[in-house]
Amino acid sequence: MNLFDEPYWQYAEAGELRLQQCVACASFRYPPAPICPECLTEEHDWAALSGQGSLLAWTVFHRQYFPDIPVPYLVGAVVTAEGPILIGNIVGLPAADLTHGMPMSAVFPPSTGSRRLCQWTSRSSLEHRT
Amino acid sequence: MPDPDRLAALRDTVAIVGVGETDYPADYARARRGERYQDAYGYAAIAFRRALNDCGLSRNQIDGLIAGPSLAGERLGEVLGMDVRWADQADAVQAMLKAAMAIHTGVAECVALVYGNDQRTGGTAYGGPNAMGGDRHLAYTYYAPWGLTSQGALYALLANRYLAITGLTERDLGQVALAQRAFAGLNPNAVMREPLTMDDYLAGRYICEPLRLYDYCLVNDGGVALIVTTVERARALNRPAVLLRGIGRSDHNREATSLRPRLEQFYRPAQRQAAEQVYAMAGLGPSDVDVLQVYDSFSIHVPLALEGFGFCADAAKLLNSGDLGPGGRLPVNTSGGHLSGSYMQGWGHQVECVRQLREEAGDRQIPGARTAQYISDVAGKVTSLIYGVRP
Repeated sequence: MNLFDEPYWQYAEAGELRLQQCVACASFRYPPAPICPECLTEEHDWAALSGQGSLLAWTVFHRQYFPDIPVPYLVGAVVTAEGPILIGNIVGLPAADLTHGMPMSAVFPPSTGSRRLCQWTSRSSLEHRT
Repeated sequence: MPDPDRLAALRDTVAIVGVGETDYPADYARARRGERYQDAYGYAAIAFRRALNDCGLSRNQIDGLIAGPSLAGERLGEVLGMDVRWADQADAVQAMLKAAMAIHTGVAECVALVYGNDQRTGGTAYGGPNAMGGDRHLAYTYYAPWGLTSQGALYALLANRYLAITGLTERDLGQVALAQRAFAGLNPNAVMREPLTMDDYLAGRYICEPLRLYDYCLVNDGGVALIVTTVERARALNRPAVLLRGIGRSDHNREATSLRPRLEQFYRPAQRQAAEQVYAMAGLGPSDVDVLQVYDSFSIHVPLALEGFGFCADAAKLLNSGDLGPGGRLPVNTSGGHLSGSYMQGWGHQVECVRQLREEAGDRQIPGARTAQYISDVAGKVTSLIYGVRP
């Protein structure tokens, strides 16, 4: 974790998806960074995202790299409605049901490890459940 | 802005005169038995001694030294017993370019490029919380809370999208592994030489889907060295000189950790830039290339390079044509590459270019090879080199 990550994780603990946003040009920074890569301004807010996005790519891990994360598990890259690409585990549906571009929603399941994580599920499976 | 005339002035002024490699299969067998025979410096030193013998220069004639990963330049100079006028550190991407620049400017006349790696016996981690390279490529480690780590997983994400968009299949990708294994079978210094069938490939376990065991590079110990000098000096050595004809470079790091250039563009803008430069400097194009070496930590690098550098518009057809393997029109990774030959992080690919152009490649020799190209694209850091011999 770098110097600028801590607020992200504090918001995640509270179930909020917020990213650094430049006060000068409104560009998002992710991962958190010391300065805006678009306009080189330091000042930023932590802006709330809508939690909506679309699925860009995914992979299923079959090799175990972390002792506390059993395989197989699903990791996806989601393009958020606001633009930044976020990585998360895809929960609530199997890899076989995934399609490129499918609408996704952010969810914050109760923490099972050391941190509460922003995860992603398909918007339709979320609507089905509620 | 790039000045093509300045670059073109460098064409054919620098020559590779000596190459050396370690005994990859023997060292791999030792490692499998649990023996630690050398460390990274030891492998580097053996390769260096062989490269010196190959070119006939003596050690005290070498006045420049480039240390490749995972070596520190100062310690390498001490191990090799060398005081030089100029020293630097570089990975394979930069080493040849830096050597050419040093020779061109006159800070050195004969430069040794030396690489050594004990990644197998030393247990280098390429994934996990402390994955190698995470300090430079944040994405190798940053997403550890979600279990995303390793260069392989990032290329698996790329492959997932690339296959969906292009229609390339896992079977098509398997053709890369098969072609390179066929070449490895002709190379006595390749680690994996037993024939590989499509059934074997498809039965290989997934590491990160859609990439299987045979889509991944080996992890083995070894060393590589090259001796580079001026073309005038090379002429006096009475050895076949391989000339550096073209250099292309492009370094795209914007939004690297978010994976946007990787997943949305497949690094194509960076590849296009490097391709334009290398072909302009060499005065050549893809159709002039007799032998192609592609940095292949994963099989997917090969279709990306073929399309990105303009060898084809649609890699699937070329992969299935048989043209990339022995006897084909566009032989790729003729030593077996990283997948089946030896994982020397691009350094071995330079040596293979030299051996092919000197017509010293034995059973895997491409008849009449005059032009060899190297393409490396690792996470948006693209390099291409074109080597040639005078007709």
